[in-house]
Amino acid sequence: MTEVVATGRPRSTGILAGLGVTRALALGFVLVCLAVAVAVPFLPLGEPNRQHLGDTLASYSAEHLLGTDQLGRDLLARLLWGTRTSLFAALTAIAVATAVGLPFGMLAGYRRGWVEAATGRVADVILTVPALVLLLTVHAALRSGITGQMVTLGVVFAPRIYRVVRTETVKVATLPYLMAGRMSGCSHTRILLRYLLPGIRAQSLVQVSYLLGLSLLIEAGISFLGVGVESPNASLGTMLSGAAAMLASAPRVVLIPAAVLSLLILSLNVIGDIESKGERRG
Amino acid sequence: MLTLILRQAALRALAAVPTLVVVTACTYVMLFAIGDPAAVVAGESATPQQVAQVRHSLGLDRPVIAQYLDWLGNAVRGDFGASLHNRGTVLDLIGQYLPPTLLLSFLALTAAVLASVLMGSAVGSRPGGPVDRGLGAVAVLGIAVPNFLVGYVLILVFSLWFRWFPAGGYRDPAEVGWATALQFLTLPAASLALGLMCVQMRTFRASLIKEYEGDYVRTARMKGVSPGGVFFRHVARNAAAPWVTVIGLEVGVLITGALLVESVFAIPGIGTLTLEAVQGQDFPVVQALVALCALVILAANLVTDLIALWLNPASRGLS
Amino acid sequence: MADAQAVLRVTGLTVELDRQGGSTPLVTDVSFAIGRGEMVGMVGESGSGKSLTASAVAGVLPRGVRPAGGAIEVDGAVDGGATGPATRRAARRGVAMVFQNPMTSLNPSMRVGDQVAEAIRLRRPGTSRREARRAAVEALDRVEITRPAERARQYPFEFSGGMRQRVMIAIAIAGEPSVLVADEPTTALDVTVQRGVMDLLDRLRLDLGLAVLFVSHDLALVGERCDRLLVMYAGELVESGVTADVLRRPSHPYVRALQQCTPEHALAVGALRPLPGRVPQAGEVRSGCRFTPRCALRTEECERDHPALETRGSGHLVRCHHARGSEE
Repeated sequence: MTEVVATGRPRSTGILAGLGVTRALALGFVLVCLAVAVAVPFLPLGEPNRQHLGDTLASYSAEHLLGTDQLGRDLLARLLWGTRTSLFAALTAIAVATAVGLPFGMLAGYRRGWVEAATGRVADVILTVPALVLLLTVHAALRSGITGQMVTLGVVFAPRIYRVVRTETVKVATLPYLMAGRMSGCSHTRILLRYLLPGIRAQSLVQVSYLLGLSLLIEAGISFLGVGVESPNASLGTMLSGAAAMLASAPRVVLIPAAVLSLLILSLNVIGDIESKGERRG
Repeated sequence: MLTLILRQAALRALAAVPTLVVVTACTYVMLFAIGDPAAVVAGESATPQQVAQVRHSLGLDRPVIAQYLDWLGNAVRGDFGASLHNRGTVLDLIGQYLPPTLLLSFLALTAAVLASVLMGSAVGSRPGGPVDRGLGAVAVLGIAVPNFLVGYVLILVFSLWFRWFPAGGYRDPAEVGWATALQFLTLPAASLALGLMCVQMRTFRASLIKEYEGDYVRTARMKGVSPGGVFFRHVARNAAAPWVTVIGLEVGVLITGALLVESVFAIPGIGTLTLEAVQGQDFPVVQALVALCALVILAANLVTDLIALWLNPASRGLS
Repeated sequence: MADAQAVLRVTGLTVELDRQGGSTPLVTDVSFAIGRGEMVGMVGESGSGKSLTASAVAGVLPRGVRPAGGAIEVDGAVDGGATGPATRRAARRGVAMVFQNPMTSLNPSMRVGDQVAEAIRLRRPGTSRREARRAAVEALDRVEITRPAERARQYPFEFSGGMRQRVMIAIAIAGEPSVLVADEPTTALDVTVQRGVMDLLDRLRLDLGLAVLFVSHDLALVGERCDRLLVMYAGELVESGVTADVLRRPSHPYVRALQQCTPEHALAVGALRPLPGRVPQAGEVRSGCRFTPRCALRTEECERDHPALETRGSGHLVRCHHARGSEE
């Protein structure tokens, strides 16, 4: 119901009330994961792929802080390397998606007309098929590795960035300060880079954060299905592959990477404030 | 009004045709021109001559456009070709793997829709309470956790600890009866439903809150309509339109989710078929599955759009 | 004013906003009465509490805002204090309200006729659907909507703003009220349409003998249409009386200031004199007169003592320490 006007700011409802703290925590967790991902090669960790068949599914110990998996590999090393692989894969996808989606989105929102009609139509077609199904198809045809898959994912996600950027650009492009820029004789390029880009940055970053979570999910999905990162290499997805068998004897082997993956996606969603999104994974 | 909706249906169905053609054409080029079906059929030990021979015998040396048009012509008549691995016709294969997936998706979607309406109404009518906050937190979590991980947790808790449900597999209800079949389907359907439910609940809650702020609610109160009457006769219908649209958009998520969940629970459904076809490079099967997927998504969006149109008379004026 | 035969009698109405750790008064101690067939205007700036007073009378206060004191008596049935739910319902039922924004006040997904019929069936529970529908068409005809039977089957989006406001009025009178509260019913409409809606309200009030509380910020409109005026400032009544008295011999400096910022006055004098300052925010408590900071006549007494509403001539009430002194 309406708050009375006199109360000033409307009371926010639901769990997003304390968003300041929640968001800060989420951002902190993502940053820590990123830092770990970069630093992994320099950390004193065991070789993530070395098997100790005499020491499988070992519990927590000084030698293996998180124990070992079904092939006797050090779980902590695999977890950190896996996080690195997954994050880098997701970042690859986002970089491609931004590189494609951002310029087309700005152009479509700025020039409108046939540019918008044509690019919009392409975006519609790409968005018809779920990302995972598309990646499976590409894998069937090309047998591309994880990098190829993530580049494809970038192309598949480009329409999502394109749409947000286009919508924001249309909004900003009608604001008076842009008109002022045009009148004072700025070139189109200058308008796009110096006037539009700063105006659409906030919303675009929100979408990027959200898509990063989605990319992690897709990477985990395809690696889990065995068509992404190839075993024995660790990623958050491959660590979960065929995990059902371990649930009975050592659930930790499944639950630890699952928790890290879920927390990462959760944090990225919180940063991306999914409240304002109509669509999500898929 | 009905004719108006039917006309809209026809128009939109027509608009979906080019999308479907473009999607299948791109897939076809990817699989049959960039990928190499002849090499798959001939086997890994085949000489280049043998591969060329297979290519010729399968008609794969013709221009790709001609090949695609042939495929399209046959597909329209319901003929999607045959598996490259002698597993019979593609249509038979799909028919054989479809029932578990249909059952699973139907159960998950129904559960998600019912639960989201109930919980959405409960918290949307009175936002800000402890129940609202609690469910809101669950929803954020339910959206973030990938559904195959939800599957693992459900197996751990309800199958390994409590031993209430089997940890995987599928039983045909026609053979073992519905009670047993549903026992096998409960956990996979629940893992699939959770994410969908959370998204739908949030949408319904948000649009209920928005509708309750509408001036027409005050008009209804002024008339003396009871709180229940305000909800059922006035608010619910208006709040349903955006929620229905989201259900349509979630069908893609449902398909993706079914694929992963089938893998977790070892269910011989379309997801399993897709994975087998992808790993075995069974191109005609993959091609048909992508077409089917696009068709289902376009149809779902069409249906939900029409329902939203029916719910919201003001949007009928625009075409 | 025939106080003895008043249809609506509001006594000491106080409305508060509930907040964590207390409540903020938004309307304090407002009393007035309206007789059969009488139209009374309530004016004030935004934030003066006039719309909340109107909503309280019609029983449609927004969530979080509640009547904290006083009584509303409609046709002898009292709502407020220790009255039982039956009398309270009777009082509620006697009041109907027309809102400011006709574009959003109708349910967009319900046929217009059904929205009127709903009000009819709630008023007379035994009515059949069919009977209610027929009565709804009659109601639409009464508010001068052409081809009412056909229009009843349409949705609100097929109606213009003025037409929607007529539908709103049809819904209001369908409940057979004795009091009609009209909260800025023409503010959102085109000037050309305004007159038609006002004429309709005027006619209905005379035909049905309605007591009308007309809320507006348009002094000229109110002056032209209303029998008596109530002027609100910062949640309380500051002046009330017969229209001619209040407008020709305004006693409260606020009313005088209001008059000076109308275009009519500007044309006469040759200068528009805007009222400086702003309405105090809810909860901004001061011990003295609430208008002091914006008042040209303020003295120490104004800062210190809260003036009471005092009689100044027959039925003319003013809340100002200087009211007597300012008499010419």
